[in-house]
Amino acid sequence: MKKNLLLSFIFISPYLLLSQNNLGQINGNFETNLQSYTDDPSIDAIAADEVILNNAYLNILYTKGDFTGGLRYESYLNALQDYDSRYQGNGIPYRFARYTSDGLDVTVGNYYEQFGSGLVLRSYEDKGLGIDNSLDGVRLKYVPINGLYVTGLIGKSRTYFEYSKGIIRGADAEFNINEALKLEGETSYILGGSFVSRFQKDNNPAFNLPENVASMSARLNIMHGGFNYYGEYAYKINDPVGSFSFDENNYSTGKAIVNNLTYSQKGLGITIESHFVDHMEFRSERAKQKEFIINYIPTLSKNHAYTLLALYPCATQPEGEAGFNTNIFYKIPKNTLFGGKYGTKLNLNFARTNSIDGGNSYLNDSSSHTSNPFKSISIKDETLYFSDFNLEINKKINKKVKLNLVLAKQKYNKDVLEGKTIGEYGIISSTIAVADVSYKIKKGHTIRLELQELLSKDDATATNHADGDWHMVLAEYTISPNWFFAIQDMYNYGNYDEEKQLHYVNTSIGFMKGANRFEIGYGKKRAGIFCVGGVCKEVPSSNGFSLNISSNF
Amino acid sequence: MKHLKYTISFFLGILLFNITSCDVVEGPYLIDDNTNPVDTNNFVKKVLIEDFTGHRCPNCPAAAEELASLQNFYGDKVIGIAIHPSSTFAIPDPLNSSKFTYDFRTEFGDDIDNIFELTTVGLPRGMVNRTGFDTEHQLGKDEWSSVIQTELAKSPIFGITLSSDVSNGNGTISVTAEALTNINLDKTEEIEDYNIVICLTENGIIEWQKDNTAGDIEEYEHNHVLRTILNTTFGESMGNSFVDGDIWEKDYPVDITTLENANENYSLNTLFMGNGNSKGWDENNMEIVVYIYNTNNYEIVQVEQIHLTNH
Repeated sequence: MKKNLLLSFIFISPYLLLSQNNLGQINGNFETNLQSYTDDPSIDAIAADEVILNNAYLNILYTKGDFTGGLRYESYLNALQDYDSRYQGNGIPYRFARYTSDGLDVTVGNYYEQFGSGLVLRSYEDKGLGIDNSLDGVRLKYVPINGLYVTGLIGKSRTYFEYSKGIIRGADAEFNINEALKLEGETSYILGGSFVSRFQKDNNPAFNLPENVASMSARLNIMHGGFNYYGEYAYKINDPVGSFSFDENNYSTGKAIVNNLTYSQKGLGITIESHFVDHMEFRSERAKQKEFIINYIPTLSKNHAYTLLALYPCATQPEGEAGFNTNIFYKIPKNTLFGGKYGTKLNLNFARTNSIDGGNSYLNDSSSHTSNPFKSISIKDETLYFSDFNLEINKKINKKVKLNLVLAKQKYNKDVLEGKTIGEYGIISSTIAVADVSYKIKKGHTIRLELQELLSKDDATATNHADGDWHMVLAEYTISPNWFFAIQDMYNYGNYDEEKQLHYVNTSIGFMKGANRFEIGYGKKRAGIFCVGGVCKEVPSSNGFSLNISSNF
Repeated sequence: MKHLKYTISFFLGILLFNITSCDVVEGPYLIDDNTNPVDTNNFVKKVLIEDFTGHRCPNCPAAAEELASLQNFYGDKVIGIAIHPSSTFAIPDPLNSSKFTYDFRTEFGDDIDNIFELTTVGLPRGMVNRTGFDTEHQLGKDEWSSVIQTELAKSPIFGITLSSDVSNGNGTISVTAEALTNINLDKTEEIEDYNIVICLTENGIIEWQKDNTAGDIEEYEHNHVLRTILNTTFGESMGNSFVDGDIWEKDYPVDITTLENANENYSLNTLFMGNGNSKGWDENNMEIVVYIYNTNNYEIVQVEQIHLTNH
């Protein structure tokens, strides 16, 4: 870590000096999230030994002409309880320098990159999930001829304050036929291909392991008028985890097929997304750990913002799932019977994912099974993982009142999506209704009220009960542009265990001025078990104060 | 058209790169050559895996299987201890319940977890000779084998010899450690102190276990379960300076009933939802595991194991 600090200092300091002579520009942003943890036996919340925990970040970016240099200082003293404890201490785990010269774009240090839809490579950062798998190494981008975009990279993937063992090499080419051939048709075509390979030494004397594991994909994008089709096929060669246990080393290949079609015109939008994924988890190390994943398979469900709609969220199963997500947006025009004075926005969404034909592909010395993507189209015999059928109506009643209503039916296979034992909770069915009204009292003063209800039905064959029914109320008062006040109560009134029929109350006050934002909160959070890639983490319940400050310059 | 040629050759290039740089392994995948001759005359380096587990942890049986596979391959060079630390995965149900009523937790396991914090990163996890503390010691099961390779390649600096005359719940364990090289003789700074730890584990405990695929298993065989540590969780000092051939010896009296009572007391009086159901030790299924570690970095430099009885 010391070495990193020093390196970054050497990298950056000359530019800091230069900037004082107006030779370039420095900007950045800062964020700190402080949380206190106190004992609360009613929700099994345990006080932190440190009493308060804090995560903070500072990004600094220097730009001058074609040159950019940047770094991020991260401080976890100690990491918030819902963060992995391997985020600990201070450091500069992210620093880079980048320039462009005669069409060649060179990056050294840390970088984020995605090839295609991410099936073979996606390095990204998500503070909410505690994910940062930036690559550290070299990346080149070049446009050799009009319409051909080429990227090549080599690097190691970040895991907390370390780098994982595998060396990642990748290349991607995107060919825009219309640009290259100067076609001026109504239809445009973009072809793409990616290749990513991971090297890790085989030091397992019991098994013959591949040292160079490759993953590749081909993609096609066709646009015609309001239509947009995107298709991608990805393939990964054998990638056993390197265990000593016979059954754990799966030598089968992986594959993924993505087909997305959208259509849009004024007042109407239709999106149909689908995928088939089989044994497609690609990691920066052979061993299975959630933090090592370097590819991404988009989740096929609507990303809900309302709490109870997102209480049972869909999680992609990269080892095997098939599904689709359909979205229809329609705006009923103004001055019609249902459109009223301002028009009415409708959004109908239907998503479903399920298991694939006979489970994921599997191959070792004594058994083999290959799943058939075409069989998975028939969902008749497949296990349901997740389904969500919902309708959202957004209506402006008059100049003062806006209304948003959502009605949803969800099914959630808790055992599969949370890595529980099969049969423990089974499939939870819930019906959710949300009403969100905002009322503008006077200029700059708005009050917003959310009422949410979740009625849940447990699986009759399951051995355990889920949480049962919930109410939620949220009231928010905003005085723009500086203040907001919010209070919310989640009430688990339908819990089968009477002692757990609890209120989870949260309050917060925010103040924004110029480039700075302050928020203080107090409340209780629910506990849960969070599982990814077979490794489970208990996210504890908590009770305490929080303070978030963010600013930019 | 010239552009198209470029493009085609570029894609061909990618394809070529692709063929030359990936290793498709054709079966058989298992390497037959499973010969690891152990030279019985000399001390060899052995490795300790501490497997952090719990009876309600559905992914944990896979880690136990990994440990068994490693032991199957490496023979007695790989020694295991299963630690059931106090987390929700190890909490027992009340005695009148039908499942998961056994309390596997021990004060020693909890002390170890407090230092190494395996439960905070999620189970199953393990440590291999406690290497990599304090950033890279919490290993997923698939990471164990690669660290074992590195550890086994090292030369042993101590040799441990154990004997026991325990029968019917009482007896004495004799521990002898021999320095196999000069240690710290010329150093004036950063002198490493070595501690020795004497543990008892038990195999073949038939109790409930959650499993990812099989559900709740009634008659699961729990092996290598840490029962107690005879000379405190972090052991006792052996000193810091050794000449090749130096011998350290000590005898430890064992009284199974007293040790069982101590665990019961911990379960009943200290642990959350402890029900005291932690007894029923079978001395014939028990092992003595002794390890020596460097107190500077906690790294275990040698470990040995024998049966508690029948010597």
